[in-house]
Amino acid sequence: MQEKIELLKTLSLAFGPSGLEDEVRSIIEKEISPFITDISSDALGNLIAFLPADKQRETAPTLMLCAHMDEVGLMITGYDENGFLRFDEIGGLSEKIVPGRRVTIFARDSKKISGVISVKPTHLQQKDERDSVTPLSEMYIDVGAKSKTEAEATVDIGDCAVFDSDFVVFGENGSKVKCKALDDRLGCAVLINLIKRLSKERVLRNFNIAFCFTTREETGLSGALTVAKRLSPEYAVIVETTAVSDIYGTPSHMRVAELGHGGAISIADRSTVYDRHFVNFCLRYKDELPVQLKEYVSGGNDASHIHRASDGCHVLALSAPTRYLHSPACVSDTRDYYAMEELLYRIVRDFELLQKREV
Amino acid sequence: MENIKNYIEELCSIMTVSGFEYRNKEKILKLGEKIFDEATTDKVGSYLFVKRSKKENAPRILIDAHIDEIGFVVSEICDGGFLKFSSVGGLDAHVLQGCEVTVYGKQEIFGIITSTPPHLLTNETKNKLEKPEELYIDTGYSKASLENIVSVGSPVSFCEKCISLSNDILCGHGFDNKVSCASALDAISGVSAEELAFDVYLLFSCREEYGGFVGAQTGADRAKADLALSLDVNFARAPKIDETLSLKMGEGYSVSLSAVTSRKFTKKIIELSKRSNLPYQTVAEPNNVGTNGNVLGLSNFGIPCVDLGIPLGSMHTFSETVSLYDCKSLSRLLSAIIRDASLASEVCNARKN
Repeated sequence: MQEKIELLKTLSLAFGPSGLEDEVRSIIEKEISPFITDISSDALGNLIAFLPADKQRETAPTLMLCAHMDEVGLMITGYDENGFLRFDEIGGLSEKIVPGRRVTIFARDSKKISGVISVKPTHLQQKDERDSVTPLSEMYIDVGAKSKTEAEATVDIGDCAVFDSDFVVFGENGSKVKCKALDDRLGCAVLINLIKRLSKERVLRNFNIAFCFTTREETGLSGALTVAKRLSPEYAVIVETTAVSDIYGTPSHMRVAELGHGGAISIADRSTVYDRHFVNFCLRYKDELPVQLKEYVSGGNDASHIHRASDGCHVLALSAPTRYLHSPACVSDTRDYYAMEELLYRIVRDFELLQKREV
Repeated sequence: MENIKNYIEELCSIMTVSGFEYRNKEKILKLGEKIFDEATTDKVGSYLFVKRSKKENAPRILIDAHIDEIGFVVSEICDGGFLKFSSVGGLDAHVLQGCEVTVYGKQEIFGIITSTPPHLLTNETKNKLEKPEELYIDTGYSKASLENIVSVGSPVSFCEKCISLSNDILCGHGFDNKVSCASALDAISGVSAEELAFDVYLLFSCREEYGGFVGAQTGADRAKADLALSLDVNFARAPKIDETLSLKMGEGYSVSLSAVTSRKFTKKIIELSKRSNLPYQTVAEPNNVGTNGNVLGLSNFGIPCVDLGIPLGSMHTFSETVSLYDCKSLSRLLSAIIRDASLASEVCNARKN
């Protein structure tokens, strides 16, 4: 268990905003290469680890298991006269969690520069400023530069930054984890753990498994599209995190899913209607492991591209319920992290039954 | 500057939410151990350290730096391990959501202040800034377990880590006003009793953030000093901040020109800064210096007071920024003041009159 938490920590702390996933890809490659030989990456930086079928290889269909490597972040767009940096979001951020945040900027010569998003003190705010949300365009990053010239010498326009946030295990019995980028390093960690497990607990298969670690999901123009076109999978599981609001005071119809109750399976979201048969197939395991349905139509993920690639594909989205998504302090439950791996293992083990589509 | 950085980090690791300064009494008194002759607390929670000069009839100088910080208190324990909280001191609602905090109960508990993710915001809620009363602290405990650890009234502070930016700038929480406390400790620890021209009374006053100046008033009355220096933080220049209300960072400490402080002794300290080649900036604060400096001069039967400051970025958030160079400059000034015989003699004259 400790090893799985350490893996989650290493992955979550790695630097990998959309378009710059190299560090994350290296870590994943290092973790899985003792267990899989067929590892390739493409022009968009996607990493594909391929386990061919044990029998009937020529006609074997492919099960695609997919998680994205990129995280939300910031991009430097300019400078102000005093040496502060202007920026914009990579992916979707809420302005309510940006002020005051520490960031790490990946600058020239691969230097990592620390910065903080500066805040106008409340004492100096006018009444209307005090009650309203500050837009990103009025926020600045302070790296400690004394002048615009010094800032220009340290950081370039187009340099990217991610939140600087430690990995913390907390809560009763250490059941919770907090870090940046749990979306979707948690998904990547689940797939890595599954790869390791399948090499120890072998399942004889008449289907291929393609473990796909994709790029650019957060910006919406995702790497997953090209991977799906290349593989033409018959079935795909998108292993993700999903934004929930299971917080005290949220009415039950808006909570989405509950931490600690297992991976949340989506019926539909803003871009995909999921394969109902696949959904029901997974719910059959609810007596053996925690699993739940996502009770809200919201968000979207790589399934949107995958399920319409080539001549279509049966898709399932399995997501760790995560609070404060897209913030430096994402919170997930370790029980869900383990339960998702358990469910995926059963999907692999019982895949021929799934293919029969009898349930 | 390493010494000041160590003091800052040590002070920031001690919880001193306004009203709860007494909780870590031993740790705070220990800070003065090798430096002062006396270290005591009082009925409201301030700390008074005394270092005596070897000179006879040395005047007393009171150096005040409030040690309390903004924070929160638990107001309700709710289902799912969520805590409702009230603010202590002036918190900014723009910088609460998703923050990391420590709740101080029978043991310390880590928590995150709740936030609705962008995926679940509607057009209505997207632009509405939630008030602190609408947020919760997420502890990851069950309500039953949590009730055995924390209670209504338990203090809560930010716990985000301290980081370094370029040009010796530090970023952390509680810098208001621990950077001043650190500068004072750094200065006094470097001056021997033989060198002192004053008996030094260092007051780490309590409850400044709470409002009402309770710690400063009672502490100053107790000290019965002849001259008071108020040390606090000031606004550092940043985008969208009026230049007349703020100071440059990295260009020295501030000296306040105000109707509520002593113009005569403020000028003497400016002259001392020039003689000692110390970097200083002046700031005009006519009616109100916004610090304990407002009341220190009113202690006992009235004493001259000078208000000094350190420029601070993003005040009252968990990411305040300060230049170590400015802190060290203030420390050097304090060191020069407490050794200055002519200043001491001026204070004695003022006392007689």
